[in-house]
Order: sequence, then C-alpha cells, then structure tokens
Amino acid sequence: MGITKADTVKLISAEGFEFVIHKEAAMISNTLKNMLSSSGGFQETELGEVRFPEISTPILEKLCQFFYYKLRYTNSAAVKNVPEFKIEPEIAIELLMASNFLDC
Amino acid sequence: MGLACSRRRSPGEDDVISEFDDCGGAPLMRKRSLQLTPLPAPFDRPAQPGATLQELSIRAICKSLADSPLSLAPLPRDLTQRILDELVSTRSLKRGMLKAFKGCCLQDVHMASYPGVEDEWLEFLDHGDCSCTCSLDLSHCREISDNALVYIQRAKNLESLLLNGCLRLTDLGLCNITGFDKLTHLSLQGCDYITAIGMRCFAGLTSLEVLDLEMCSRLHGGFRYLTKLTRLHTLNLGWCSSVEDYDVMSLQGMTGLTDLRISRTKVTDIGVNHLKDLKLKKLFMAGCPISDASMEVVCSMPSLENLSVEWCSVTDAGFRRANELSNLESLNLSYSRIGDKTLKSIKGLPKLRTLNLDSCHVSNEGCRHLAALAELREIDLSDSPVGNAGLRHLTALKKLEAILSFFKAYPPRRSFVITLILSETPANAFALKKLETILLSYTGVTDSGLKALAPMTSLTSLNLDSRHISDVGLSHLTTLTGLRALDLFGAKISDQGAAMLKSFKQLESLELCGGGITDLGVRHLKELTKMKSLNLSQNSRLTDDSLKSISHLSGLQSLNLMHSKITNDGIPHLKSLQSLTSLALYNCNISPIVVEKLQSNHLPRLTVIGLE
Repeated sequence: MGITKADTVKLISAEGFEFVIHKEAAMISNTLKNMLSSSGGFQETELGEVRFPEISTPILEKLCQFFYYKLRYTNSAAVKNVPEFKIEPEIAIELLMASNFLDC
Repeated sequence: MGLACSRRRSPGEDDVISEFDDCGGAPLMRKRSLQLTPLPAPFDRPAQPGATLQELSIRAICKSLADSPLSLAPLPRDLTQRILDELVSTRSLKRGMLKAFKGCCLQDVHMASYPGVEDEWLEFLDHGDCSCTCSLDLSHCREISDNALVYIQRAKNLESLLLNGCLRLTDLGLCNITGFDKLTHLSLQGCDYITAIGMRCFAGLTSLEVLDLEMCSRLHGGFRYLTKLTRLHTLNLGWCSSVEDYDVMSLQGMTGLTDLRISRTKVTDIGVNHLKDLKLKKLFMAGCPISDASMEVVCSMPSLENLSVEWCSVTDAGFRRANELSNLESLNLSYSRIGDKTLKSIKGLPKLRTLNLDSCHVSNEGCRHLAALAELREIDLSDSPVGNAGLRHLTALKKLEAILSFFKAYPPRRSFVITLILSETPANAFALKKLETILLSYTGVTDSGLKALAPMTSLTSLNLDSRHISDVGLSHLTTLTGLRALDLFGAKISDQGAAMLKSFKQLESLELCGGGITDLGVRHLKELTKMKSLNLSQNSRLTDDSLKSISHLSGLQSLNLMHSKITNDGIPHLKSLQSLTSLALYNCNISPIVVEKLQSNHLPRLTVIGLE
C-alpha cells in the first residue's frame, strides 16, 4: 500500500531528527490531533511537520513507538495478549513531561 | 438461610439507607454484609491497552523509585501529585521514596489507612516545601502519634487536616496544632485520648469552619475554647459520651453554627434550650435523653433543614408546632414515640423530601396526612403498623422514589404491602413508576404478584429474596432491562430462570443462592459482562465448568462460591479476572496452595476467605 504525503506527518526533535509517521498514529496525541485537524488553523496543518524544540530524539522516538503501539492494540480483538509497553526508568521522567505536553 | 455474612447488599440499597441515617444506628444492624476492603493493585499489573502514555510513564517512575533514588523536582506540580497518588493507591509507597519529593510542591498528601505510616514518614514536610501542602489526610494510620504533629506543624498553610482514628494522639501532641491561620477543616474522630486540656489548641484556629470530634469520649469541659471560632459552621460531637448540658451552654453564642451533631451524648432538655438562638440547619440528636420540651425549642428553629430525633422519647405533644419548620427537608423520627398527630402536624411542610417513621406508632389512617407532602422522595415505614390501606395514600405522591418497609421481625407477619397495592390495581404502578428500588425480602409476595412490577421499567435495584419466588415470577420481569442489582438469594430459581437473566444486560450485582442452579445455568450468565458482584453460594451442584463460564465476566470484583463442588483444578480459570478482589470458598475443599499460586502469579489483589 503506497503512502502519500497527505497521510503522514513529520515530527522533528530538538536535535533536528525527523520522524515521518502516519497521521492516524500522530492523532493518538490530543495535542497533535488539534494541530493537524483543519479547524485548528495551525501552520503545522499546511506544512505537515511539527517541531518539538523541547523534546529530545530518544523521547520523541519513544512517543512515536507509543502511537503505533496504541494504534495496534486499542480496540484490538486479541486484547488478552497485549504486550507490555516497556519504558526504561532513565527516560521515564522526561517521557512523562513530553506525554503530558502531547496529551497522550 | 444461614451464613448471613456471605451476603452483600447492593450499593443502591445502602445509599437509600444512608439518606435516612444520620450517624449509624439501627440501619447498620440491617446490613448482612461482610465487605472486604479490596487492596489496590500493586504496580506489576498487566498491560492495559487503554492506558495513556502519561499513566505508563507514572507507573515506570513509581517502579524505579523503589530501586533507586531520583529527584522528581523537575516535574510540574500536578505530575508530582499524580505520582504520589499512584504510589499511595497502589500501596507501593515506602518511607525512603518520600525523599524523591524533595523540592516538589505537594498540595494534597492523602495517605488515609496507608499501612505502616509512622511519624518519621512526615519528615518530608521538613524540606521547606511544605508551604504548598494544603490538605493532609492520615486518618486510620494507626502508628501515628504525637511526634507526627511536630512535623505537621511546619505545614503552615494547611487548610484541611484529617487525623480520624489516629488513636495514639494525646493532648500533648495537640499543643502543636497552632499557627494554622488557614485551617478550615479539622477532623479527629475517635481520638479518644483527647481531653478538655487538648482542646485549648482549637482556640487559635480562627479560620476553622468544620470540626469533627465524633467518638471522642473525654471532651467534657473543653468547649469554652471554641467560643471565639466565629467561622465554625459544622460541629460533630456524635457519640462523645461525656458531652452534657454544660458543654452545650458554651455553644450558645456561636451564631455561625449551622450543623450540629450531638447524637448519643448526655445532652438533655436544659442543653437543647441553650441552642434556641442558633440558626441551625442540621441538628442530629439521636438517642439523647430529651423530652417534648426540647421539641418545643426545636420547632421554633425555622432554619432547620435536617432533623433527627431517632431513639428519643419524644411524643406528638412535642411536635404540635412542627408545621412551623417550613424549611425542613429531612426528618428522622424512627424509634421515637410519635404517632398520627405528628403526621398531621407535618403535613404542610412544603420541602420535606425524606421521612423516617421506622417503628413509629403511625396508623393507616395517619398516612392520609402524608398525601399532602408533595416533595416527598423517600419514606421508611419499616416495622410500623401501616398496611395496604395506609400505603394507598402514598400513591398520590408523584415524586416518591423509594419506600422502605422492612419487616425485621422474623418470621414475616405480612406480605410486602406495596406489591399488594400494585397487584390489586395495576394502574397505581404508574404513580410509582419513578421508584428505583424495591425490597421484597422476607415477604409473602408470590410469582403472580410480580406481574405488577413489569411496567416499572425505571427499577434499577430489586430484592426478591423470598422462597415464594420461582422461575415463573422471574419471567414476568424481563421488561426490567435497567436492573443493575438483583437479589434472588433464597428464591427458587433453576437453570431455566438463569436463562431469563440474560435480559438484564446492565446487571452488576446478582445473588442466586437458592440451590437450584447447575453449570448449565451459570453458562447463561456469561453474557452479563457488566457483572461486578456474583453470589452463587449454596448451589451444591456447581463444578469447575461454572468457573470456566465465570472467567468470561472480566469486570468481576467479588465472587462467592461457598458450598459448591468446585475443585483445585478449576481455580486457575479465575486468573483472567483481573478485577477480582474478593473470593469466598467456605466448604469447597480447595487447597490453600492452589489459591496462593493464583494470588501470587495472577491476582495479587485477591483476598480469599473460607479456606480450610
């Protein structure tokens, strides 16, 4: 299945690292959902990219992993075998702040 | 019926009772329940696809706090609060972890009933950041003693301090409760070492609005320290057995008081007379040695909204002027000596919503007056001589939601009157169609009588614990799809009846203990996915196959399988019930080892009773 640019969004970390993910996944974050929905009127909607000068690359990567984890297992029929979403203790505090900001 | 302790009342029932009940008393005796407080989940819980990343991160932080010290200071205030609350609610907080909160601003420190909390835990209040703390709850932390108050004293901005059941606190410790300019709420229920001397500290708490000293039995003489507390509006002295008329005299100038509870104190008519100038809205005097003279005083308090004279020797003579209590919303006259004349006196009360006449000598004829109480929502006529003829008057009350009429004397003398009315003239059912709760336990109501309930689709809770009810009766009720609680404890229900239970998709609580259910019947219950509490005790034919069916009820919190034929081999089926916290297995021949394995590997929150 081909991926068109309209289906994706680019998330850019503090260090300038770019993550291209499906909009559907990004919408797991309520903050991103607001930004990307047409009614939001954010510049991000047109550019299809969002910069996070406060979020480091490993944290943003973890966030992206979570979006896809959530997409995969929410409302999934095989709820019983959901694997744990592992969070390394070293990043837990930073991740909490980022997820608080992104509302997810 | 036996083994009454295995029973759980539906939550709805208890709610109704608490409306009537000011502070315990008779309704407590009606409870036939043994409720185990479930332990919250420890942090090693299974993956939950519904959890947010914030929740998962908080859990990860809580877990790492157990292994290594880290500082939470960079986090904003609301997040550190959530971490503390998570640690407390999962019972994983340890004293050492509190260091991590150094530099954090914790507004609410709620550790009520937390096991193992000692005075030294509160050292963290010494970090200079405790000025943020505005609410501290250490109720029922049994190890807390006077030293704790030395630490607490540093949290100068406290607005609420709850130390209920901290039984070791003494007057000496209370000396430290000074300088709290913002403290509005102080609760010391059951701190029985506190005396009049310790009460001196209250004099300085000038912002105090609520003071709860229930069950402190040595307070006599200390109430003069309260007289300057002009903002105090709520004072609970219930069960303070040394409180007497002299003490109430100290309260007479406290015109800000609106809520006063002196149930089970020694206050007499003399004391009540001291209260006459107060603008009280709530007055609870259950069990006080007062007479009609007190009621004369009370009847001239037009501000009263809620009055209880339960267990008081007051008669109709005292209530002659009750019609002047035009703001009264709730009146508890249970176990008093009033009769029909009082009903006549109160018939014009425009706001009365709840009325408790439990064990009062009111008659059918007297109930005629009740028909004028247009706002009445709830009435308790338990153990009164009121029968069908009297209850017919109540059908005029369009707002009535609950009629309680327990016949506590056993064996039952009469059938449950409400149902008789309904079955005689079904049209009356519509007058009562807002009723949510009906209790028909221990009554002579029969299967055909239940037809009358079919149109009452607003029912959410129904108690049919009666040997006269069978599958046939149940078949009349399949219209009641909103039922959340159904008690068929002693009813003669078979597997056929169990199949009909499928209509009740909202069912959260079910008692089915008549002995007629087999594994086949339990299979029908699989579809009741909202079930939280299931009692299948006394069904001696149930085997491990039932456990397999029950394992589909993923929200189940409480399960009773006493006197069934389940075996050790069936127990592992329960492992999928992640919410299960209470399991009763009396007389089931289950090995403790099997249960321990279930608890340690899958259900750490589970409490099991009845193992040999």
